[in-house]
Amino acid sequence: MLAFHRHRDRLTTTLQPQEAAILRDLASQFIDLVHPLEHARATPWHGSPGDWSPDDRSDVDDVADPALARLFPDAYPDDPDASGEFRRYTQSDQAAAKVEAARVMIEDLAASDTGHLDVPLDHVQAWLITVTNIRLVLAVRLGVTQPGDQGLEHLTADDPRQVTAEVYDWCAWIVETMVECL
Amino acid sequence: MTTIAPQIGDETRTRAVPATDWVTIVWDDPVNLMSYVTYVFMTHFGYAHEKATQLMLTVHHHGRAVVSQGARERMETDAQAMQGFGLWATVDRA
Repeated sequence: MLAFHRHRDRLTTTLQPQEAAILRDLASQFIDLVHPLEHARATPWHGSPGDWSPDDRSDVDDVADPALARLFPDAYPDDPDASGEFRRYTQSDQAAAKVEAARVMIEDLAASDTGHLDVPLDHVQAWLITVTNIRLVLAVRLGVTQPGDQGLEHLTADDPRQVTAEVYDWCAWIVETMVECL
Repeated sequence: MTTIAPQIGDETRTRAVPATDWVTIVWDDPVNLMSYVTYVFMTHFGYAHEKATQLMLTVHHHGRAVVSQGARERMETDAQAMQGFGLWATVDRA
């Protein structure tokens, strides 16, 4: 995959079919993760930025993935009631917006079979949001959750997280090269 | 066109106090890129590049930054937007 370039009303690049497939797969998995929250009851997650962990969760029978705690953080870390209220009013809309953004990215990728990828300018925000959301999920999987947690340079070559770490870094590069075009 | 002289009453005085006692806070995290955070502040708030960069650097160096201040409902809208971009945002009293 090459860095994006701006061409009039779109960002363009070339990418290998397997790269497009990886991005499509990541976006699809992300939709699978978030889609249930479009219609689920609001689920409280307790904890403050910087000190949350999967153990802090409560009442999560229908939401079992700690990555969701990062995607839908408490708006009032010290006030569970206010956080719950905020969540009741915003969570399903937020989930729907995240899913919709991921679908935009999947559609653009579906049209890139020739190895040429066009992202219209009015799709760029959906791309940035989706790739960022994917990175947030991967970061939780990789244990990169605290400010100061540095990348994954400490992983050895045979660490099973190595592939995930490479995808995580690749997604960072995609965000970077897109923002540079704007 | 007519001009109506302002009537000074309790209601007027109450309205004259701007409802700026709440803030939206964005917290540092190890995932979001500095360039992306700057982009988000410019896109959502319409901040100039310099101000957005300054806010981003405050988040980066101090762990958090107040990105907007105003009425509570407005701050919840901003926090929802920031969370929508994948930033870690909360609402608090000013």
